[in-house]
Amino acid sequence: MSTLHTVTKPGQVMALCARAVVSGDSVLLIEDAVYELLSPPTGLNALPDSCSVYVMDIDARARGVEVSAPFEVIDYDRFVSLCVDNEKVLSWF
Amino acid sequence: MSHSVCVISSRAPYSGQSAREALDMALVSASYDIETSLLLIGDGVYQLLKGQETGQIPRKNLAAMLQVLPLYGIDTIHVDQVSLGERGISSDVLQEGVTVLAEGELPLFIQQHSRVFNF
Amino acid sequence: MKFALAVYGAPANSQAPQSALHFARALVAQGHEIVRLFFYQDGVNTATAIAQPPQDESNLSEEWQQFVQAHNLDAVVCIAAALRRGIVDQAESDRYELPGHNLRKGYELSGLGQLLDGALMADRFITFGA
Repeated sequence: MSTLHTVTKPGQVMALCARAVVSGDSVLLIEDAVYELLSPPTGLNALPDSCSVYVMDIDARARGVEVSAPFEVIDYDRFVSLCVDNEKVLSWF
Repeated sequence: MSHSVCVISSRAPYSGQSAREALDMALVSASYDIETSLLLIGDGVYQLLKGQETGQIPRKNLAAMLQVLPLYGIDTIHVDQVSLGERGISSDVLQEGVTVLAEGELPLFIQQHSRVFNF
Repeated sequence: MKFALAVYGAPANSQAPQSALHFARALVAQGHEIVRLFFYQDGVNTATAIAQPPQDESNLSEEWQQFVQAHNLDAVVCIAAALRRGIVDQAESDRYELPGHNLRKGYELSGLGQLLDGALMADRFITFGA
């Protein structure tokens, strides 16, 4: 059973989320959490290798944050699909 | 299916209403006879410090409110050991009735509940 | 699939109501059902009728209300959180003898039990926090 973790803020919130993630979970960065891609990625590095990380397109664009592999840019339609595909959604903010 | 609820509270007690409103959620859930856990992580661990005296600020004493949890069937408050360590808090300055979750226990503890409310 | 959504941030100091509205629109477009929308913490400010953002900014409160009414959603505003922050309907205004009321039409003031109930009856529960 897998979980989608949505993260809304970088830094401490991202780090807390990372500690709750297990192998097979997915992480979606929305709002200010997209800044996590600019900072030394301590929280993101703490994620298990098998964990997919998605970035909300409109939030990254709005903040001038460029997204490159292995991170995948998604829209709200895909966010909904991720909620369906995972049994649970946990929100970190 | 019988549900279980985990309320995660991650804010300090008096910076806003988050800690109070998370506690309210735990009390409502427990009062519906649902097995309910309260998990304090991040700055939420500050809620458990002994000796809180709120007489001089216009807020209810959150530590005192946490002590009513057993009356609602929540016999222990779970607290994240890593968050304590990061803040230089040793468990002897915490109030009674606390279960410390060791590093690595967090994911499994959260996952064993069917619904999670994060605050 | 049945979804319950919770919004904990206010339009003026968080992006939560905006993200939640994007998400809710995508849900409806894909044919999912929103069984409950619950505004808690500072999120209750989304339901105010009297905030007037400047004309070059979108009025999220108005957009949310239009969405709630268009889809006939079960939209609940936590009564305790709302009273604490000055969001009241006619009945609460009368009860506390307040100078007015400001809850938008389409929303209902009710207890936190409605958040729990919504999360339990939905297949997925998503929180938009601040």
